[in-house]
Amino acid sequence: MDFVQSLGSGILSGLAYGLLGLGLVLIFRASEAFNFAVGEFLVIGGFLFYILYFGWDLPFLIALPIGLGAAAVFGAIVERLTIKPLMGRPALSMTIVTLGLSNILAGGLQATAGSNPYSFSLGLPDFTVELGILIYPSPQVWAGVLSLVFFSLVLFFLYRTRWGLVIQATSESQPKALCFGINAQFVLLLVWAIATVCIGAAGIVIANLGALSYQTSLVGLRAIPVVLIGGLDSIPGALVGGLIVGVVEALTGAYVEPLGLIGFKEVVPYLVLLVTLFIRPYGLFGTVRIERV
Amino acid sequence: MKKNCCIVFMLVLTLLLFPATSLWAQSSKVIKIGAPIPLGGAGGAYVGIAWGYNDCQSYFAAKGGIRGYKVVYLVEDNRWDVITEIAVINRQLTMEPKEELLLFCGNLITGTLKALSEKINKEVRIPSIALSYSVEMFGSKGGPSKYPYYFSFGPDYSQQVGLLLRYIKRDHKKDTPPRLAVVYSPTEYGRDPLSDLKEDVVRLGIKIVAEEEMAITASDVTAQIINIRKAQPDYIIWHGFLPGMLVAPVFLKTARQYLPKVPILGTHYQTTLSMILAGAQAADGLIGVSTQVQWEETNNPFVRLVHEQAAKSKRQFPAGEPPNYMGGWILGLMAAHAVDVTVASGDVSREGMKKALEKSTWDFDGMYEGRKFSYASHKVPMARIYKASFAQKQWNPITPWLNADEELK
Repeated sequence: MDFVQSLGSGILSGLAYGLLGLGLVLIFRASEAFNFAVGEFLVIGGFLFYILYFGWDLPFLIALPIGLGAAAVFGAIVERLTIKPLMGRPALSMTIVTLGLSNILAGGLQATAGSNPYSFSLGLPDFTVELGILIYPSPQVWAGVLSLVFFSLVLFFLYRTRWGLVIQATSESQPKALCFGINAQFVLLLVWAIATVCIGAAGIVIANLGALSYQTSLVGLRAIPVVLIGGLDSIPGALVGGLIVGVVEALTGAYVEPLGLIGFKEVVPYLVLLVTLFIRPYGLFGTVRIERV
Repeated sequence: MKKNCCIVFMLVLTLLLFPATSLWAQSSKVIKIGAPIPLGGAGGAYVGIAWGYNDCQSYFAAKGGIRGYKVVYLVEDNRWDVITEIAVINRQLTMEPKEELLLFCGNLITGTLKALSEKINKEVRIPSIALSYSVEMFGSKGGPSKYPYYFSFGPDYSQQVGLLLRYIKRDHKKDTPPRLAVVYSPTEYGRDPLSDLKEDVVRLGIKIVAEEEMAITASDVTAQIINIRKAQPDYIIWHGFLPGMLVAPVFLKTARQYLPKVPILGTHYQTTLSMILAGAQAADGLIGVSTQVQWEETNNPFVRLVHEQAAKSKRQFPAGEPPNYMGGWILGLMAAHAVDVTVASGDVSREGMKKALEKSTWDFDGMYEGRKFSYASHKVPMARIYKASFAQKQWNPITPWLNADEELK
């Protein structure tokens, strides 16, 4: 029973991690840059929603799309100001820019939102699942459900719409996309906006498990093993990576930590990552690239 | 002739001015207090601390100083960071005259106290009053015999936990011994009172049935809570968490889901307004021991004074900051008290201040509702147990002020 309980909890958390990872994968596929500011994007997404839902008392179904829309605008502005000027340069320079961005945003968040946490309870219908001694609390269930819904919506957009096709084409090869008359610069802007929506949505469901503060950005670090295990350029990989990290964390907490290895839960995703990279250097679903030198 | 006239004029002028300058020097006697507090960095947004300290300084400045001495608080940013705080203290010790800089009274993180223990207690010998409740520094393994110049604002964490254990003992109504789960952060701070707690529960006949560490960055603690649920505790004590830590509200929300009827009891830093704001409904009914009075206890003379000064300074507090503002006042008043008793003793020196503090008995401007404490143990031994009300957004006292030294004899 413990196993089922832990497995279920791990899957629910893993779905949220997967959504977080999806944000990183989208950016990597479009620009080959790794967004180290993922934690700050997560908090900003959460705060934008917070202002509308808790500050202005808008209904959830109105606050959520507007909040995520605001997050998309934020992502687009960041792309215009920091990433676009670097187009044509090595992807590494964009990655380094995100490191600086992370520090600037963290400082800005602290200066504006302060250090105290903000209570964050979505007040959604109680979906607590109780099966005998198994309990899955409502915020956890909602985290899983909402993450899955967002993940599906993004997949639908990418694979079932014209703009999704354009994004895929540009992600495949920017020069080829340009030859076909696709505005690659706008596509990059769009990708950053969608990725920020994914990360912001993950921020909302994760904050609902506890509270929202500038320190919530630490959860963003979980995205690193998630995308590296799944494969940096693989969308299904983000989901699988998220589930692996969530389940491994939960099972370690239930079975390994009681043996005296306290805190091992925090380390184990990185151990799994290490083992994965030894076996498959591009992650479980990442594209194997052979470069001639 | 002209030259001689000039020399005579200068001599006369000097003779005339000397008494005046010496009188001026006498009237501007200065005592400086090193005050490293967070103004930037991770704790920089806790603006209330600096505001409180600042208003306290203005309060005494408006009164014309303390017993004829001008008190200068050398407030400097420690960024809530050990390395920065050590640098601040070292700089102040180097730059300020020894006969003027008589005290450190500020954040003084436990790590700083450890790093500077040799320097402060054996070399420069300057009294240092810290916001640390470390057992290692102020508990049975430390204390005045080991760290003669360190002072604290409250009972150490072992004593705080001891007060909670005795509360559990009184509150428990079943025939079987109380079953206790202990939750702490995997930090030096979190593990600090553990060994004393384990000895204390044996004496009190309380059974520890679960012990769980929760990483401060954890966003999911379901596994640990499930382990606790399996152990079927009657009470949970949690220690080693701050409201800003990611795990604190996660723990509260998860615990309330899985263990809705088990009382959760915490130490001083869990007993803050910010914890109620962070945990929201899940924080309702939390029990905690606090070393300071609450902002809402306006019948308390100390709180009234702080409210008056806040109004005078037209302070507009961000959410969760009033208790920090009061914390700033507590630092400032403690420093002022140290100056007061030192000047009264006649020995205005670092050594004189240490002795005066050890001999002093005080009621902290009425904070403890008439009860006084002695600073002989280098700790303010006073604490009170509170219960959180989410509806009121405040902690309500459920015991009178307790003197830990007496309660835990």
